[in-house]
Amino acid sequence: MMILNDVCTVYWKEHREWVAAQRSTKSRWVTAGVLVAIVGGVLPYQLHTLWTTSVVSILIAMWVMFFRVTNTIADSIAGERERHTLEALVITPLPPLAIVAGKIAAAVRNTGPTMLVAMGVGLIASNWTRGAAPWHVYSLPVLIGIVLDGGLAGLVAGGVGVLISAHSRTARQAQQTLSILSFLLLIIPSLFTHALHVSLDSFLIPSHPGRLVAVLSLGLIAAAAGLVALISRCARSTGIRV
Amino acid sequence: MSAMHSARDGLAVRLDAVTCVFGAVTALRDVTCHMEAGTIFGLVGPNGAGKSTWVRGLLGLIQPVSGRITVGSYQPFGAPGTVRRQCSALLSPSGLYDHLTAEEHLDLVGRIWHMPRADRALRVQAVLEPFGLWSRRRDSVSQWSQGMRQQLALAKTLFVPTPLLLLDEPTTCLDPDARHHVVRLLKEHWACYQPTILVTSHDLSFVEDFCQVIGILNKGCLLAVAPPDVLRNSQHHPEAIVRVSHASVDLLERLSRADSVIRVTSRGDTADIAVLVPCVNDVLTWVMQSGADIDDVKTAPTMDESVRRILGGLTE
Repeated sequence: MMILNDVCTVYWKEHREWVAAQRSTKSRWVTAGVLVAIVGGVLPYQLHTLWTTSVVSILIAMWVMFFRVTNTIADSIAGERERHTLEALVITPLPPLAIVAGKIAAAVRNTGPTMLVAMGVGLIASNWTRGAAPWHVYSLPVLIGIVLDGGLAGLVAGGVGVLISAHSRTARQAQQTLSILSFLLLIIPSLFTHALHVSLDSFLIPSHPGRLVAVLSLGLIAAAAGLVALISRCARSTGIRV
Repeated sequence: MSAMHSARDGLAVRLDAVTCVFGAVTALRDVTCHMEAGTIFGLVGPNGAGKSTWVRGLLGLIQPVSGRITVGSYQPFGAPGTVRRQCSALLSPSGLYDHLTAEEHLDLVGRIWHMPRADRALRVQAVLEPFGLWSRRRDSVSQWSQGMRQQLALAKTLFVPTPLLLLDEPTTCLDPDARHHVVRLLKEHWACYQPTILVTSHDLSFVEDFCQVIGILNKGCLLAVAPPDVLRNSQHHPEAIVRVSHASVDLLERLSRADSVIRVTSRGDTADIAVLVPCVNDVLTWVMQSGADIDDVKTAPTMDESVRRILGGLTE
């Protein structure tokens, strides 16, 4: 239970910093606003009803979480190392794993609202394209997928972000590496289906979306567990590189 | 809060033939030193001497390539968590979060040490008030001067009394008044909890005033370890120099024949009289009675001079 207490302490610190930074840094709002406009406006406008019935919205939600969480984590680990605040945290009695977990939890918590707002705006945009037709909402499997898989993708992104940030010299270097990784994630699905000669549509519009959500969730849980084990081993052997 | 109860028993710290290397640079070279439990140990030396490496080694942030560091009965690099649960450290730079307030900084320390909320609130006031920062507790520290930030960093370090206190350059950016005040607070803290304290500093008067034992480090080598007065006297010549002007030839001849006078050196209108220290007052009386002027009396080197002599930077 002690370690949960420690995770909450780091989460509290990260969240307080994030709240204070939002008040003083307008550029962060601009980045979130642009992301919401593209993801919640442009894509649903093009996809019409597919936005609420296919798994596209789940994948987009996952990608938004990955993109935002990795950026936040890069600043939280490599950025703090540059500002010499990571060292001050590492020399406290907090276990390294609690520091990492608290930072990831805070990153997921702080970026989750951007994803949810984008998906909400997407719902409105999708309905707007249908003119006078009755309003429709996300199907239940899609809604569960957005929340569950989006959150899990955030955790996986946090783990990947920690590993890359811990081995980057600067926050900028970590952010660049993670941004490239984020954009590769956008391209890989289409390359993958193309290579297998499978229609992307058949994957995106499955007959049983619930099953796909379950498979995605299990895959993300396995990835998150693997990352936790890897980070835990690194933290035990070398601590957090300061 | 177990640290608070055990703080009265400071931790002994031992370095046995410790060598730390960064690439081509040897930051610590075969250093052996024993810091008794409950002592205030000051570490001085020029930039790059290895002072911060010493502190980081004690925190388990750096692994020696050879030798052994022991804090209490633990080796920091092998059991960093155990050691860090028994020490507070102020590093340089101090590592404050720009967006947090002073109150939030201290609250964070309390949370890290699992202090109950009510205790944290009381302790925040108890620690901030002596530093004169209580009225600014809700300001974001990004608005603060470097001196105020340094004082907050010190307040953070003293927030939870621990058996070992590591202070890397604690008086950086402090004005003379603040420095004097900080020394008083640190002395009060030590008198109350008697932790082992390791201080590194370039501020020799601070180290002389605060520390019970001083170690001089240069290029990774520990050159001397001794109490301040012993260190100063180790470089102390057993003579005082009395500089006089307008002295008559008769006076200078009389002085040069006196048993207590080692030598008399005349340069134009002034003369330097080297005197055995216990006899300085007699010589001063003779000079004043003769009507000559006393320009200067130098009895002992300052700590600064002593340290520079040991470092080899000051030659006679």
